[in-house]
Amino acid sequence: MKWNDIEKPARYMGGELNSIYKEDAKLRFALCFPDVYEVGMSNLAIHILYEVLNSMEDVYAQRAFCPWVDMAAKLRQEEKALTTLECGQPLHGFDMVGFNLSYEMCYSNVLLMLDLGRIPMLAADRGENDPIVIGGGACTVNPEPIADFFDLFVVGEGEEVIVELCELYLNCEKTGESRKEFLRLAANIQGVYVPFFYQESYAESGEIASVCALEGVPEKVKRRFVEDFDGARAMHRPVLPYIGTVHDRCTLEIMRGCANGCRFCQAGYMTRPVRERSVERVMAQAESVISATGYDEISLCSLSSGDYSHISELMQALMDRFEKQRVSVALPSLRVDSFRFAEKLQQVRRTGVTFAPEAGTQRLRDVINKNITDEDILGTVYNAFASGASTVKLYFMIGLPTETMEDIDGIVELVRAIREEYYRVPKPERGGSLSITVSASCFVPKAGTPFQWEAQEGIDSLREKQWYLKDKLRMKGVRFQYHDAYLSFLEAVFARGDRRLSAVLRAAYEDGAVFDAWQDHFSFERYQKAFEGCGIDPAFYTTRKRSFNEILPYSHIDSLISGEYLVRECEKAYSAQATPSCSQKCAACGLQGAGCHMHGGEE
Amino acid sequence: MRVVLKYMRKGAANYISHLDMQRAFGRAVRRAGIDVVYSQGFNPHILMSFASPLSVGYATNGDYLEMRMQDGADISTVKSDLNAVFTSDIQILDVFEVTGNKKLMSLNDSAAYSISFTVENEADCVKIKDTVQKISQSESYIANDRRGKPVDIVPLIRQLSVDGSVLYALLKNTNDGALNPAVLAEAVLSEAGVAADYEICRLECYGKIGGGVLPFTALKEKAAAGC
Ligand code: SF4
Repeated sequence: MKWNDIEKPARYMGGELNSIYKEDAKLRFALCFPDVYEVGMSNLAIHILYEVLNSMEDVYAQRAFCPWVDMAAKLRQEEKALTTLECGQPLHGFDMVGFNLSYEMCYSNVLLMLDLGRIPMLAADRGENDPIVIGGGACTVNPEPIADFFDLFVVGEGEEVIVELCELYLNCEKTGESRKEFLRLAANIQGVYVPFFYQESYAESGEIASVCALEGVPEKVKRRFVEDFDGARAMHRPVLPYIGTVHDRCTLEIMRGCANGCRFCQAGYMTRPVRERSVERVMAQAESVISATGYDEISLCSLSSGDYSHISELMQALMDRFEKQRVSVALPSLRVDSFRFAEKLQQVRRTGVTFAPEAGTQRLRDVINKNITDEDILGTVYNAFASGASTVKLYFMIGLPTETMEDIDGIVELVRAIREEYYRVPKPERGGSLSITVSASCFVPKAGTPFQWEAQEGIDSLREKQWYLKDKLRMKGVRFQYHDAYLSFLEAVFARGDRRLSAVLRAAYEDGAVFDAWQDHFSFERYQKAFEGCGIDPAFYTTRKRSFNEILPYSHIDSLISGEYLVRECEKAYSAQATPSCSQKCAACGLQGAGCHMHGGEE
Repeated sequence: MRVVLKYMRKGAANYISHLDMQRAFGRAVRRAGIDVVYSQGFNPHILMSFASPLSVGYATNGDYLEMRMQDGADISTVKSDLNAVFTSDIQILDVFEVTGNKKLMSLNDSAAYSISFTVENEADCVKIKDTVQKISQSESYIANDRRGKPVDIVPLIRQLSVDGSVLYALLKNTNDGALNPAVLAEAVLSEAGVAADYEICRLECYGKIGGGVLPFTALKEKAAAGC
């Protein structure tokens, strides 16, 4: 193949340090990430699963990423199949093909990879010799819109389930079980969802009337999580990319789950209960990753690293250990209270400060349960400015439930107040020129959160709010960024959609949809055409408010967070009542006595 | 102390940029635990510089970089230590200490390349050979550089020869003028009217050393001789 006309050929070369080569194995597993190499290689799950799977003697896991448009066109033109990096084997030749589904907007890329990998796109069309196509990752809270394309999903954390699935597969192969029997047996593993065995029916209104479990599979698929996270296998010898990736550093996972309970945050609920990895284990992992890669930067990964109970101790230990090798330790995305620590590290100056107040007023922050106050923010920025920092990044959402223009104005007020703090610091003491980046995304109601019944705000009024902010934030040193409202609309369709959307996705893909998360490639018109062609009104999924007793498309998937708790949280949101962090008080989310050890497992 | 590393690359490593190459070496040095000198300041990095950047897609059998190690450090194991932590696609060929302060980069004179054409038949080889001869004998030959701008390549060519389907070229490689072998390859193909793919490998880098033009490895003897 000639590479002159291909952007970044290294994406397709493999051969990186720590890649694993095996002669062959009984079970060949293609680990796929439906985005380009640089994005996929930054995903921790791929690295963990790569090591977990390859540590099994009879399994050989290889990686494949979504070819960029130039490469996809070339593969088509030269009639070549999409292959894995390690051995260059076409995807259709694998026993299992697993996709990481981290965000809805990667769905069209999944179809591209199946297509180029020459795997029948629909699960129903696959035969005994086709791979078992597996989906895992954040989107499996509601995998319904892509259910037609997958043989099974792993709901929740995958590193244990995947091993059980491989063992089952190897056994079934020995005893000569059929594909269908394998899937039936798999459906009985906790965390495995085989869409084929769950049949839904619809009411006239378009809502789901019932979901029926067939052939003796469990009525509800229970999400899996790793109970002994501290002892669980972490990544030790990650593949070291030759080319720069999005997160090109040693990433250490210190904690799973989040105790804060921000009501919009799917990840926060779907990774509960909170589990920490011990300082010793993290240190040992750091040791092994640095010596296997030579990375010069360590960053800690979790949903809220400031809440990790030994954060100062760990940071200090890492810095002491790696100072001589000039490995820097990046601060975790900070919560206000961990800021003092940052100050001590004198890193603030370099990196500036980042906040995610998410909403502009205290009232709305109480609605979404984001525990951060104006005073916190202003106090922190003042200190940061006084110590020489001059960059501030702020993340907001617009279109949140109960939001009014007053809340939008609140964003402007807060930015104004931050500027004032800067000018309050005497000139000789404050740093260079002030730069505030304000980023506003559009709220997308997500499955499994207290806002899963909410209507998404319409595109037009979201855009009006964006323009309004753009106008009001025309201040010196302030930059305003916002997300494409059309993209958020589509994301909202798939986030809470049902199986009827598989046809829409397929139609859009056939019409050229791919790399939808990449602004330059996304076309809303393409999806609009697909919706029309399939006779589906997307507004049914977005701007329609659901009642608490509607059967949601994913109601047969048990996220382990109780419905009553979600309703309670939603009602509290309407009355702007905050819920304290789990570390202060248990809110009985359903995991008490069922995996959560925060208050001795009691409420 | 200043230490020069001669290295090769092939396979997957051919497709990485100069920046990626720097990063790959920095990481290998850390993996191997080589006693290098770091820069001061907030973002300490290894003091390291390459003689001549290599384009994406090219292999090499003779590229050089220099780095600073702690004075008196033992360099006898640097080669094996680094080779143990690199993949087989990047390997160190030689390691030696140099004296003086002139950067390799400022000594560059020329570089030798092999351009291997994947030709369809013998006739194409003949066409290529004839064309190369024609270009060698011309006073000037205007080709398109990589941005499509016309450039006279003859003054940038030191020597050309053809062996079968492989063109060997010694090309000028200085700050005030260098010829990218792909420009030559494209010129030859279009002049010969041949459509072929080709692979480029840098064979050696030459510097202005001690009044002559020599491979950078000559610095080793120079240092050993104490001058
Ligand atoms: S059981 Fe209680 S403490 Fe544990 S995650 Fe749920 S609400 Fe928080």
